[in-house]
Amino acid sequence: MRLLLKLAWRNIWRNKRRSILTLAAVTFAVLMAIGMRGIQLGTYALNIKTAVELFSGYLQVQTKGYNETPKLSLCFREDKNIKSAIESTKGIQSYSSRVYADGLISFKDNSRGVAIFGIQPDKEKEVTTFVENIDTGKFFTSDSSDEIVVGSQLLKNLNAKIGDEVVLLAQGFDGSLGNQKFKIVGTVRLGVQEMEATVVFMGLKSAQSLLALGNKVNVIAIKANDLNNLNEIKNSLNTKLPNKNLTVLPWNQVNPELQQAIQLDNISGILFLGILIVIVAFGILNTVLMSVTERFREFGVILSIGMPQKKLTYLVYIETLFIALIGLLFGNLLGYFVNYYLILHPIVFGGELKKLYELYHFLPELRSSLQISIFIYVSFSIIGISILSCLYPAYRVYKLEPLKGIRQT
Amino acid sequence: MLIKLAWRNIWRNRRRSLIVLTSVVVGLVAIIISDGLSNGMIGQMLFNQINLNISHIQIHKKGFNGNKLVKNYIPDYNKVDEVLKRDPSIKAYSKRVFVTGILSSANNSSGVMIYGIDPAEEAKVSIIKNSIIEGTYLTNNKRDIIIGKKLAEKLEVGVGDKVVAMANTLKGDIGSDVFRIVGIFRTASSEFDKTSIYIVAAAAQNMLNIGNKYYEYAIITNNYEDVDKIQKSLENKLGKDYEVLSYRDLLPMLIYQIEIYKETMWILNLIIGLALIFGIINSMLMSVFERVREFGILMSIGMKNSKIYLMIVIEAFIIGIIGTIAGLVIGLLLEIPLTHTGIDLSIFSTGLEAFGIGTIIYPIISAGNIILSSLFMPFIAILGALYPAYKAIKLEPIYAIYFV
Repeated sequence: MRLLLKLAWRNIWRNKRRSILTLAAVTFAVLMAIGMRGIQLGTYALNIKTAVELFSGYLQVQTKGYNETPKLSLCFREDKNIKSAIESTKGIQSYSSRVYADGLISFKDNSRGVAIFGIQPDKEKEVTTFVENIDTGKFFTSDSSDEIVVGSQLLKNLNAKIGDEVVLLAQGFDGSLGNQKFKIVGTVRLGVQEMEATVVFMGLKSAQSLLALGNKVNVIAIKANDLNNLNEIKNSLNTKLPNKNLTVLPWNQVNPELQQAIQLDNISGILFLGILIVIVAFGILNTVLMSVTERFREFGVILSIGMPQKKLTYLVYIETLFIALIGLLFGNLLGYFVNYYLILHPIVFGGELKKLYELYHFLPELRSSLQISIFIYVSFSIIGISILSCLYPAYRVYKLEPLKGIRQT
Repeated sequence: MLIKLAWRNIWRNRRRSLIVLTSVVVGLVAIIISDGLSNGMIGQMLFNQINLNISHIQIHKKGFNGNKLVKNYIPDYNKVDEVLKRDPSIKAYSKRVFVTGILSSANNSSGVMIYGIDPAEEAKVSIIKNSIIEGTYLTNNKRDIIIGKKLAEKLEVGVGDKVVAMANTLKGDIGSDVFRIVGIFRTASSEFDKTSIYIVAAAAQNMLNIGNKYYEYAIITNNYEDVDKIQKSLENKLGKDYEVLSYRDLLPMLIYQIEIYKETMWILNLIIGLALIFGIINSMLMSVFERVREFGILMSIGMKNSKIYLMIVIEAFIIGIIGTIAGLVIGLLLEIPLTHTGIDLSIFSTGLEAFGIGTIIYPIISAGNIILSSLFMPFIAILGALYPAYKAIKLEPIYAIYFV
């Protein structure tokens, strides 16, 4: 075995040109796969972060069952115990409470169904970005003011302008119909047209009094310091919560559409990765096959002087694996640098797409990722396809007749 | 003479030529499939919306899209009917009553968009009829209503239950009516399922107390790529009281998203393209290097360097062309069945089953990209031959003969 290893190593360097071409095929395969997967995963992470920071938050505390059927009656008292449970959980950066109810907004003879959110603007700013996504006017600053901010399309639909007074009508916690006058002070953009046409933000305390809620809330939105350890935070907070009716949900349960859209995209990404891997597998197969058949004359000579056929096959296999391993090393190194570079300098789409950024604070860019799993998966799949694509060339060597080999051109 | 020589060289060592050939074939097949997939996915994003309720072109009274008021009904729908019936580029259309309102059950209520439709007409322009998962589609019964799965969950109702729809009438008071749920639909968009309900047009007109009025025409044309032209011609025929909007005007955010997606796909395809160019060049390099000794002999018996060089290039070109033709045939044979059956992505992930029809991708073959890459392929094959051929003819014949 030692002899075979030594022979293989020397064979590789005997004809450098041939080995380098095979090496290049493997290196390139690894580099391309790491680059592609890096861009895919990096971009998903960026999209998730932008989307959850816009509105839903990383995690939410809700009453059990609220997520499936959001009802005003599924609310809870935001007491000291809950606050201290959240504040004492590691990894949580900030949190903010919300109330949500369906209602009707009327301006002059014009009225529409709306989704009313009662929020705490100063705390909400620490959790999500929509407070800063103001389109026109300004955001109210007090929890209890009679000022509201509406979706930009809603303002247009109402034919109202900033400064106009509107009436909001909603069914309260006790079943009574609350109605109150509010002043529109600003409009927001949320990137989802349906929401922009239906959303109304008001102070938490004003909403609680409109809906006769006392100091109860529906949702506490939480910002964590990292997207990757949400499960730990969720579990640790779940055990601390004093009220057993409450539950902690990560963004992918609060916003399953986003999760599904990303999953769908991820699967199509894997399809593309599959196509790429088929191409590089053929690339490796072709170079190995060619470099093996090129040496049939040499193999014929070796076989004639008495090398067992099996050993020769091993030799060829060991040589290819050596080259594949070296290629893997180079490919991973280069891939690391390329992905690192793309994290520092993301691919930014210019032109028309810049408008998107201005409108929705949505970043039209492709970023890469250095997740360790990318390197592991890619390395294993490339080593796997290298082994597979060597099977046929090795079989050819195994079946080689010495004399035919010597006469091979 | 050279061409003949090149042709014979190719078949002299079949093994070598076949290896280069497969790299060209695999490359082209990969391009055809990945291009078809990305077109299919982009089409999917668009067609999901178009088929849902947007359609290709919508006609309203001027200003309706920005402000969907009850008083903004279509001034003269007979005139629009006349225009649309005469236009041969229009495949089908549906007249809709549209109003926002509230739907309540005994348990809950929710803001909704109420579509009043002619069930038979609507089935021709949208997928709503095929999206029914429980119960049946609307008949002409004025008490029937169909609602989305998500909305049914929110209101805690099912087929057979009664719901109350409310909306502002023309005079400003509130019109309401009781309906019985006959069907529940689920589409690719859960947002749509949460907010849209369908009733018969006459029932909506009754509720709003507006008589025989409509608000929206949803039009499907024979070819959605001609939409801009048809939009212009309809605008001219209908005059300035109407707004004619294409799906591009109606879905600006989606068009942006598709633009981003296109750019992403472009980069993924670029990576795939790079990989296959590298594969072809690599195998071509190897196959020409292998023959340096042979070129040395040709040089020693007096063949001119330029002729040898040309011969190598011609060989590469011929292999490139054969590979391209084979790749085209194989690629299309693989892809054409897929354009009909589609690729159901939900089989790769159980989490996607709830996503409904949105998970089936139908690849779309776009002639332009395939022709372009077919033209390109033979030259990539040549590219791989240039350097080793150059290296071969630069060698002294005697060194070339000893080249290993």
